[in-house]
Amino acid sequence: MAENVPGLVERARTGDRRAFDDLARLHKDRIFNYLLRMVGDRSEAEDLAQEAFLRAFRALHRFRGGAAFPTWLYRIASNLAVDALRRRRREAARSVSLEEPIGTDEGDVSRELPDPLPDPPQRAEQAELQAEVQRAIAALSPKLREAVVMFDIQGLTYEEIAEVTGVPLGTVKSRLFNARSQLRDRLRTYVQA
Amino acid sequence: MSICPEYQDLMAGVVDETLSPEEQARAEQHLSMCVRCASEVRELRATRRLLAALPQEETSPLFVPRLRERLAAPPPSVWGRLAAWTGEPRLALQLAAAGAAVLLVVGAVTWRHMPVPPQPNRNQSYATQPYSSGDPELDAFVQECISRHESNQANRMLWHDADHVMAVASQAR
Repeated sequence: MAENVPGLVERARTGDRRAFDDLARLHKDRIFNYLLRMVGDRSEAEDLAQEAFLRAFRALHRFRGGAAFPTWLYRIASNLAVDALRRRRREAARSVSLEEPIGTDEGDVSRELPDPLPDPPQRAEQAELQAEVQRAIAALSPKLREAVVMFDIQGLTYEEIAEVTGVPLGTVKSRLFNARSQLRDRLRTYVQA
Repeated sequence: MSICPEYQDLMAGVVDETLSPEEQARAEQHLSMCVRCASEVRELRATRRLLAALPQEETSPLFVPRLRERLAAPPPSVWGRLAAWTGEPRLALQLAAAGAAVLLVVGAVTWRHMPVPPQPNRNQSYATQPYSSGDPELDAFVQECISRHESNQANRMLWHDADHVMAVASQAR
């Protein structure tokens, strides 16, 4: 079933709520997944995703259709993610009593693992690896984290990332390279031959 | 970083799988001759694949209804938007003070009635799905990484035990 995104955008621009509904349904999971990998927390990611779509709806009149709609959405989501991470750092720096290192808070992963499934040993190891990978992602600076989440997890191209983040192609490539090296260092026991 | 500096762009392209056929040929020629680059590229590609294998999570089922409700609600007050933007209600008030005193009073009254944004629950599990991408080759690769991790851990323990034995032996002499 081919969804005519430009058609939906045009209709949504005239105030057609049903068309915007459809756009949200089409794009919500990918925006949510991006935000989830950026902030590491489900409910915060959902709140941010909601905010992204709200802002998109209010700014639709400014969307000129030049950038593809998903790219434009990602730009809104990216600004929200970076703001959220910045706020978190400020709050962490302010709360002297907690004595939490800034990095750890972002990398904190729930101890709640999914319910044990029929093959417990295998599932536990997979869950542990998944947690390690997310921790490794969370240890990256926001700029490096964003590059690698967009390219490796969300499947955006260099050009799309450059457009979303507003930096040159060369910068995207070098951020990706640095991010991968840092991730590799943390996941060494899993990837070292 | 152990990649040959003059080949960094090319090697990055190998890892990202973005090379043209000619570039790929040049890259492979270098990789066949350079052990360090070959090892580095192998590890960086494996890292990429681990990320690509992460499950794609979905929103809760109430996402669209919730959004619909918020779209139907009136937009928040100027102070609500300011505070949300800065993340600091106090700063919003200071900004108001830069304007007229009357605005400051109005702002203070409105601020007190503003809903406090919910604090994110950091303990909520983000991962609801197993580490399974749906691609059997990728899933097999993930299993391979797990086995490698276990064997690396076991080796580390063997070395640790060996060190311990040596330490005890040298004390006994």
